[in-house]
Amino acid sequence: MTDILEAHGLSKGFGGLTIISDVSVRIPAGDRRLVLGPNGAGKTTLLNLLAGELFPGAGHIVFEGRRIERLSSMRRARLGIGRTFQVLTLFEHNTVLDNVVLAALGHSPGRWNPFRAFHDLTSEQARAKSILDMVDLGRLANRRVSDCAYGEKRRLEIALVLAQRPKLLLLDEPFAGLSAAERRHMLAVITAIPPELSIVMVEHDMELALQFARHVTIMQSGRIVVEGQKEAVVADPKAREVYLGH
Amino acid sequence: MTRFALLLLVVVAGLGVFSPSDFYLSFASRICIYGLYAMSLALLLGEAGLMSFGHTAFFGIAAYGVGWLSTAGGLDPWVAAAAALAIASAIGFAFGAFAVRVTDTAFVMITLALGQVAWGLAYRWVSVTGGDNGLTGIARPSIGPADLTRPLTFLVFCGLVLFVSVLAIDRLRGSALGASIRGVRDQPRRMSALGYNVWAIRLATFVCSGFFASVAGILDCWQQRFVSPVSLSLLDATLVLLMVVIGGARSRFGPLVGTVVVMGFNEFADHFVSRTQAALGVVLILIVIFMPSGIAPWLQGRMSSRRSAGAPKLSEVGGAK
Repeated sequence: MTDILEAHGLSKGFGGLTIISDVSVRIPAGDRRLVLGPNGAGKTTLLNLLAGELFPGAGHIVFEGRRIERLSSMRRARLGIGRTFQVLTLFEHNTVLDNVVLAALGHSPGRWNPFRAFHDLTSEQARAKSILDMVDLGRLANRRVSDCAYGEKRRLEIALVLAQRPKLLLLDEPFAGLSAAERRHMLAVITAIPPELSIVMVEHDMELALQFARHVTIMQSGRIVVEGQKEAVVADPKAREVYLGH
Repeated sequence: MTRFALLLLVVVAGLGVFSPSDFYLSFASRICIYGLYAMSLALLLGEAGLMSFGHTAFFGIAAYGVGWLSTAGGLDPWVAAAAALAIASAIGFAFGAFAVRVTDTAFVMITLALGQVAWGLAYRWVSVTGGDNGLTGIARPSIGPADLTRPLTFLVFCGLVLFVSVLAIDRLRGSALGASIRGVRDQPRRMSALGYNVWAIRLATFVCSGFFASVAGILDCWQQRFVSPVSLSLLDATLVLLMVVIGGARSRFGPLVGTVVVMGFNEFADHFVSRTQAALGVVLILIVIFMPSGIAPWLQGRMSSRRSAGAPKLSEVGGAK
């Protein structure tokens, strides 16, 4: 299977503090990759480097055969890299539907049109509704985001990124702060994402996230310590050491 | 919004018919001009979340542009106006390209610097601006048989320009681009991750906002038939900001309400209080404390709560026991 994304020798530091050091990772097309690691392991920094929020100090990133490490997050989004955020970044004063329409509009030339009324974007609205149904938010389409429950907002984060028609999805701790029932709901939503879409998920909840993963990368202190097929990684003593301390 | 714009037109026409003197017609024209000026600033502050003290630059550059081009330049007033708009918009684009790379306090400071540079030029570049004395003898244009030198005709003209501008700004706010502008204001990081060019959207808003401020500047120049560095002063910038904040920066017609309050206060309060500026300061403090979103959103809230209080309760509708 061809790789949709390759990162080679990525390093990133802030001042004298090295956050990520010589990290290389390959994501095959259609992969379900789980990135695990304790706090401070560099997981979110790796995600930010891949999404273009940060530029690496060293190393390079190739997406679909094209070097992208110096492209902005906006340019990478247009190439097909979508991401969710650990801290919710939704448009709280708008309705759930308007949030997804705005996301769907991001790649359309129509976003510059000052004569096209936002509420008349019928094709974007139709697509937004179908995406909301995918994440089980269809019945809340006209509810203001600020009136939604936390779990619903987390699913809306997924809807926003799906509306971008991404090829690679970067999910930053999608289960964070959810109750047990909401976590199961979220897992069902993520599992239902079309298989042709590649997913890299950063998560703390190993037990739940492993149900989704095909490959697992475990990070510690800014380096990759174990990587491979889920079953192999789970059985690896190093993985047990990182997670269980023995 | 169309209803509001029509109401505006009716008010302007009513003033024209019932005004007891030219003073009130002239005052109403100034409200139209400063209302447009305030709406242009609200487009930037309320929609894009960028607070600018540099709007006086667009207002003043356009005013000086039309004044100089139609006097020293000898151009027809309409051609001079079009050229002044183009010059002010081009300066807005060039300056905005740098300015919108930053936000918050840095943006405030950089626009303040722009305003002060324009004000300094107006004072010092005497050969063009006339320095302290400003430019005088600026003629108002005419539209066919309509003589804009007459206060009533000029008021109707200003009202029409405001009417069209209000509709245009409202159209922009309700468009896909308007939604993008608010998205950039609320979640720039998310918007960038969604593929939006945050810088370009802010720049477009800055230029649009500067364009409407320039239109107001041209009207002001025609109204006074004179332009001086006062129209570029920090005091004027603060006054317009006050209009926007008092009326409600994010409200559709808040800036117009703020303009009426501030200009009405400045014009008539001295009949009742001796220190009008100090009194205006107190009014501002009270409004910020009791109506933090501005007068217009506060009024809207009161009206909608009154409507819902008058509406039948659920138990009365559904036959709930």
